[in-house]
Amino acid sequence: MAKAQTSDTVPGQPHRLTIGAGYDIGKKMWSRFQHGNIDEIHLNFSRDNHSLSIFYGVENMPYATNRYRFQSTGRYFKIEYAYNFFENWGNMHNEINVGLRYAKSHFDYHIIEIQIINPRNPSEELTYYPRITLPNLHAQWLELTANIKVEILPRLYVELYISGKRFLSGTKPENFDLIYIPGFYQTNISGFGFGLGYGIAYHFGL
Amino acid sequence: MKKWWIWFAIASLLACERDDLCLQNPVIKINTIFLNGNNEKSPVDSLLVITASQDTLIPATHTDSTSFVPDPAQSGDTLIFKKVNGSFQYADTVLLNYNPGYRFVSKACGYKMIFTETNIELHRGNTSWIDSIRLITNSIDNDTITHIKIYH
Repeated sequence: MAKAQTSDTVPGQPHRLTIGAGYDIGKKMWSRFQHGNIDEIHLNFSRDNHSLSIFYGVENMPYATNRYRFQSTGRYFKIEYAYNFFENWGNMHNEINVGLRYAKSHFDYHIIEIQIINPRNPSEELTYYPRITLPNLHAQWLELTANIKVEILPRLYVELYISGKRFLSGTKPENFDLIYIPGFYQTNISGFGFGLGYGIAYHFGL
Repeated sequence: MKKWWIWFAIASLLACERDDLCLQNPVIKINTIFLNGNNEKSPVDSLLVITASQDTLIPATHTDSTSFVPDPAQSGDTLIFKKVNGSFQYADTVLLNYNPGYRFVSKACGYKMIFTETNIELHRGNTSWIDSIRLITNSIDNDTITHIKIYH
């Protein structure tokens, strides 16, 4: 009995399954600030210190430089295995998780505006509004994540996380490039990306 | 504290972008080739290329090559090739048609102008000097290769 009280399981309920549902507030706020929209929800199944999570996100985000402007619309899912390293005292249920995610994204680009230097007069910029859609693009990547979950009210958690991302593969659109990937965000030459944010989650104990 | 800066430096390096060279203009390069049987480039005393949108674009003296940039606002140019021999001018007209378009270069550079579906028509003048004219490629997207060869 004494052993059960020092573990992170509820006394008398060893190996209980917990189901959690969460929403990423950080992504929502950041996307609205960027004049776009991201909604990401997740479902979490945990038992003892092991957890399996599924994330699903829907995005509609603008991307603009001084040379081109496009809209990225799409969806992504992520599946994560994480391990909780935090040893709770008494009846606390906080978590410090380290996990690995596989992610896949499906999306379209809508090229809205491009600026080209006039080759005949380099001081002049030509503006085109091509309205081109580049459909059926996809990409996949891996993420190494670390998060802290703090129970602020019974069963209600606030979650802070950071993630390092490694791009694996994707379709290169015709006459364009993979510049922004829903769920991965900006691409770069190294194939690495970083993410951080926070969300809120509710855990249903079974 | 020191370790935090090391991680920050690594993250900064991983997120770096390629430093692209964005200047690569689509330029039509023209070579004049004297038909002496060797198919070699041959200079003419004075080659004048005149377009409708820009007069006397390339006055070249004793040259075997010249170049000009197509007009992205047009779908073609009328080029008058003049060879000057003392006080006498030989002239031929070449109709050059092209389709302006754009090609993506890189994330940093964006798009560049290109010209595709290029074709040429030679209209001989009364004082013709061109034997034949040949379009080497019907896509103009750089300034490094010869696009038109004039045999005379």
